[in-house]
Amino acid sequence: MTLDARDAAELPLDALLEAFATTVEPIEGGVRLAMQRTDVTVGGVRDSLNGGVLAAFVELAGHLAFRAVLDAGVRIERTQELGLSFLSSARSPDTIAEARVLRAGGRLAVAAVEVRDGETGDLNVAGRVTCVLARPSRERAS
Amino acid sequence: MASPPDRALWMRQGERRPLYRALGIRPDDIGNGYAQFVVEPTDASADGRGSVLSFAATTAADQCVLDATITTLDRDREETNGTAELNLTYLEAPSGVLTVRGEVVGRARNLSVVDLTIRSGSGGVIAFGRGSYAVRQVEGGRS
Repeated sequence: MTLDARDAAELPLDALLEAFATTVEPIEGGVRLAMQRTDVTVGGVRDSLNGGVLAAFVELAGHLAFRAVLDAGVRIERTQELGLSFLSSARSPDTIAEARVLRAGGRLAVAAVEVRDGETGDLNVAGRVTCVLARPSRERAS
Repeated sequence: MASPPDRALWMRQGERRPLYRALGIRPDDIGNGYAQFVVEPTDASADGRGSVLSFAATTAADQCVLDATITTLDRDREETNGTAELNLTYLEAPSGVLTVRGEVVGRARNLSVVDLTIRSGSGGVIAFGRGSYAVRQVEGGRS
């Protein structure tokens, strides 16, 4: 299953993607997000993107990567773990996140996310997102 | 020496920030070594069931790390230099309006460590976390 407009619309994330001026496209094993600098997303040190925005950007990329690869009927219940290392300030007009699913098991799914400067390719943030999954058969059994 | 935070100024500045308005983040309390925000559903941060999306809480958590750290800075000698690490563990999905609080539990010359808790509308803790924030020494001070 690949991400398409229908999948994105099923999540209540359209308004958040718009607020973050973010577009989404599928890549092998995940998704690629592009976020623009706006008066909402800036606010970090030395005129960089806000760290909280970047943290949410990583979490969002992880969720959308799971949506892109999970089988039909499997849904994301919630985020369980979010781990971020901020490596450099994000100052580019465009900031790119690539999220790839490392494993989608019966109950948990893990994705690795890299956030890079859209012009130089410098790594801004390295992240990992773990989500709890809900599978139809498990829901019926519980 | 760190000076006591001006709570009224902090809240006024927060109310003007486009990011906070978009995600429903409202400054709630600040004091020496801590900062607290309330996160309410908006068009961008609502999960469609009356609760706040975790993404907005995550944003507020990082802001707690920054603002709690700022209260510990010696403004004549130190300045902010960016979040270094942020780790959050959610025990359950957000429900209702959330309260996100960060408390400084350690300060070194170039680093602040902040413990985070996120509470649901009923008051139960739904997430724990820790952030570390880089502090830069200003050469020669500002005076």
